Amino acid sequence: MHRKGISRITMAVIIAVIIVIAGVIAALLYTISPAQRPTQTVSPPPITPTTPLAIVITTPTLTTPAFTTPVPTTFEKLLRVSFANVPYLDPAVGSDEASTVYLLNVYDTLVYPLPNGSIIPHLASKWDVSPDGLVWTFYLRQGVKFHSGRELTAYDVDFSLKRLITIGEGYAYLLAPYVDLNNTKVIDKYTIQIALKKPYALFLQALVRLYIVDSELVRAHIKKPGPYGEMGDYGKDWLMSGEKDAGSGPYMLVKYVRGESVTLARFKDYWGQVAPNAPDTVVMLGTTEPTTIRTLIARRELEISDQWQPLENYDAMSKIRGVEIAKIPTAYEFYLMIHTRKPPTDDIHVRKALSYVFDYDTAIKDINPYERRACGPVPSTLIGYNKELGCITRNVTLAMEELKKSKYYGQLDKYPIEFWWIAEVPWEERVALLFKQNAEAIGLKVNVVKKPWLSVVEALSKPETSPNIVSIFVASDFLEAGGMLANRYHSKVAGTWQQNEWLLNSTIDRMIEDAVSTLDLQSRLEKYYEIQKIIFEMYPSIYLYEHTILRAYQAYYVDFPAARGNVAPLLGYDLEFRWIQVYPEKRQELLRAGG
Amino acid sequence: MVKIRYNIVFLKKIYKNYILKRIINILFVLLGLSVLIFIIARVLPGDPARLALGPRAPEEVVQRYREELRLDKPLYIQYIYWLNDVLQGRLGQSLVSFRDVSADITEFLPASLELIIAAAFIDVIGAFTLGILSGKRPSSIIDNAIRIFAYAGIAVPAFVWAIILQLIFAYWLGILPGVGRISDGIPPPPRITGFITIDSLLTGNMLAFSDSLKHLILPAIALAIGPMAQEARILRASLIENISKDYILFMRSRGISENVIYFKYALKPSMIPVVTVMGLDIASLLANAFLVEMIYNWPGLSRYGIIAMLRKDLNAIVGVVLVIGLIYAIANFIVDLILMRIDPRLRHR
Repeated sequence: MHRKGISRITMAVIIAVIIVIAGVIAALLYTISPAQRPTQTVSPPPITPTTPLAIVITTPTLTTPAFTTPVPTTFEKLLRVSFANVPYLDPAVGSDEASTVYLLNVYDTLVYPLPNGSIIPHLASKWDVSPDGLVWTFYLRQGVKFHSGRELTAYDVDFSLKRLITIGEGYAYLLAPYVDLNNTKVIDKYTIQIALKKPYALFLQALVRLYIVDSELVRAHIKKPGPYGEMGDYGKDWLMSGEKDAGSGPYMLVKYVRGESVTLARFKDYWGQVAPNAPDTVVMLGTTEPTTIRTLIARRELEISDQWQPLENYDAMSKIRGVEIAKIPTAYEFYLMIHTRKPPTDDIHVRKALSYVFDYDTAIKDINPYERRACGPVPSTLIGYNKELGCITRNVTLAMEELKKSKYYGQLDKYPIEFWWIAEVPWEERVALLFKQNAEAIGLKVNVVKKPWLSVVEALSKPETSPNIVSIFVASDFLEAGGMLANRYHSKVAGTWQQNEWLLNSTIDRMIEDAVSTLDLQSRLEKYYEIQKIIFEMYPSIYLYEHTILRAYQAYYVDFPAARGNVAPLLGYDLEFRWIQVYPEKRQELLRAGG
Repeated sequence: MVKIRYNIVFLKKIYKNYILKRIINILFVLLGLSVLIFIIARVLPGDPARLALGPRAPEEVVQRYREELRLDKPLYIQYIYWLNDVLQGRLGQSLVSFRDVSADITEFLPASLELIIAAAFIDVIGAFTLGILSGKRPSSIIDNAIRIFAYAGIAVPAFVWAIILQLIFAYWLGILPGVGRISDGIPPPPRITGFITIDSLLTGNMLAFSDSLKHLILPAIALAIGPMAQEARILRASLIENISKDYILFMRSRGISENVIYFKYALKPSMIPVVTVMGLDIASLLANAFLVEMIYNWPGLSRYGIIAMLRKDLNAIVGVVLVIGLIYAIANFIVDLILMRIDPRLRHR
């Protein structure tokens, strides 16, 4: 017979569970939150005005709530930023966003890009170039120290250049086709002569990605045998292991948790200029998971978010007290790349019709409201952008007229247009469907296909497997239009994901090569304008968006210059940590006010 | 004394007849799995060397890397080379970390195991507690409440629980950390076992211990809820079935206490199906942890595995799948041993 009520054993189980839960909660409540622990006071180092870059120092303010009176406490100036991945730590390997940000903060370069697109001295105090443009002589700043304490010399520059080009990965592609290593030589401890195989006007801009390593430190960690002959593995394993860095930049590597994060600390002996409240410690976190990012921002455990959040997450984060969304202009352009050698898009009238029928306004207003309209073959943020071309606007009548001129008119149903969008970027489907709707309104048949990125890359290697249209973002490596033109429309990039147009036009190739080898800026710009005009009139692409990077950031206690647009439109330069300022006391105010 | 001797005889018998057979079995399973996953990983679209070096790396460098990885060789030759490497303790170079996959696995596996062990602990305690409470008083308020929880637990995937828990306890209430294994600013203990909680205890770093424990709670609960709910339901059903059997009626007629009947005579046979499922569930936690580790930025093997798949890191995919396969096989093996211990009939088959 069953007894009624709860038995003693059941009661004991319930009590035991309650005790365990209570114990865990008590233990948790008794542990001190790390964010509330005061840390060592670090006074800002004096500024050494070595670069002619003016820092705009502003104290961030918040207009909405009134907080309690600040208590004069000192906390560590900590900056945490999220990225799509944890960086590669070797300057000859990394070239993705996280790696680039790491490299430009930990390593120095010979030259430095300004927001206005000009290149100024950095490690090189000055340089000169031979009249034929083939020999560049760089005079190095003296007294620059690596994190190891060693002085940086021309031998390190020589070693870094040879190492980058020999390994051939990372940013090597910017320099390898032009630099003549056999004739590059160190003149003296502070002078190096770099020889080029052919004149290259973008050479100085390419040097922005040559990160100088401590050659002695790297040599001491070379593993033999390795793929690079007598240089063994060129110290790749050691640099990638994250044990130490080999740089001289304003930050140095202090901790590398593989797959999770990289922690940097301020290099106190840095030779260059640093903002007074620049962070003492920076954590680069490798996650973009939306809920995680939102949670970290709300808990003030993340100061600047990555750029890969869905729009609704930015909206949600912008509602958190003290958080704002930075809109950072870039030199990325989103193209609908049209195959010019495949029916029916091999006919310029069909391409023109597609350009005129597309509803650009809806694509911006309803799909990507933060993006800016792109109007030509290169983004408007680049020097040499031809603004005379103007923007194509929607004109269905004109589109219809062009279509009637096409040799395919009357049999368009036999030539469906295949439009591929990248499966990993869900919003592209909306662009594709808008395109389909617009094109079908004038009688064109469009098949929208979702394709994984890897399949797209593979298919674009041959003209016969490339689709009629594919939508892709391309970023410029340079501050000038020439780099983008070469990377998009030169025949050398046909067969790569950077060109589905299959232009294969020798005239354009020659013009691009001529432009990027013209040393005189003004004549170079004229050549860029002309090339853009010719390409524009061939209608090989539909120019849709100029990308704006969105980042949620703690505007109440972080001064983020890139949020004011004060940044060179090159990958990674929006996160140059030495110009970002952190006010930990203000963070405490927020935490005290309930987050 | 007699019991100890019996146990020794039992174990000896197991060792002789069973363990060896199962180990050989596991080796064959792993070999088959390695062939399958090796081929699948290599026939996926996309050039892994190009992907590893970036879209703008010069073709000659990519070609050199292909040769280095032996991707230019026929598939069966690649497999023979790979198998030869495996026999020497190497799993091939990762295209993402640029080092041997075995080094990556050694680094990331402890984090996943720590999470899985914590989840398994919660799972076992929770499943038995809920199953017993529910099975003891069928159709009571407690049973109905547990039933609702169990349905929700089974129906909602682990990654949704992960997001819900993160939102409630980290985002809204802010009482538990929502990301990582240890807070910034707390120096992690030196790596001894790779389990931060154990390493901090071993080094007497109580601050790191309590902090890492806090970090474990949410992902472990998120992972444990599903299996816990399922196992609680199985235990309940099994208990109800056994409690109505004749031998229980006989014991009741002999006046044996209800608690003794319940916990000694009804619970033990009821555990058989639960333990079977539990073993597999715990093994599957590693596979289920893929998204949970992503959400909590937990640097474990599952997260490593998902990155490997997204970036077509051939050797890493094979390595991770083999580890998961091995853990499944071992879990199955342990379950069988436990069942043989619980159910004497199995020992004599």
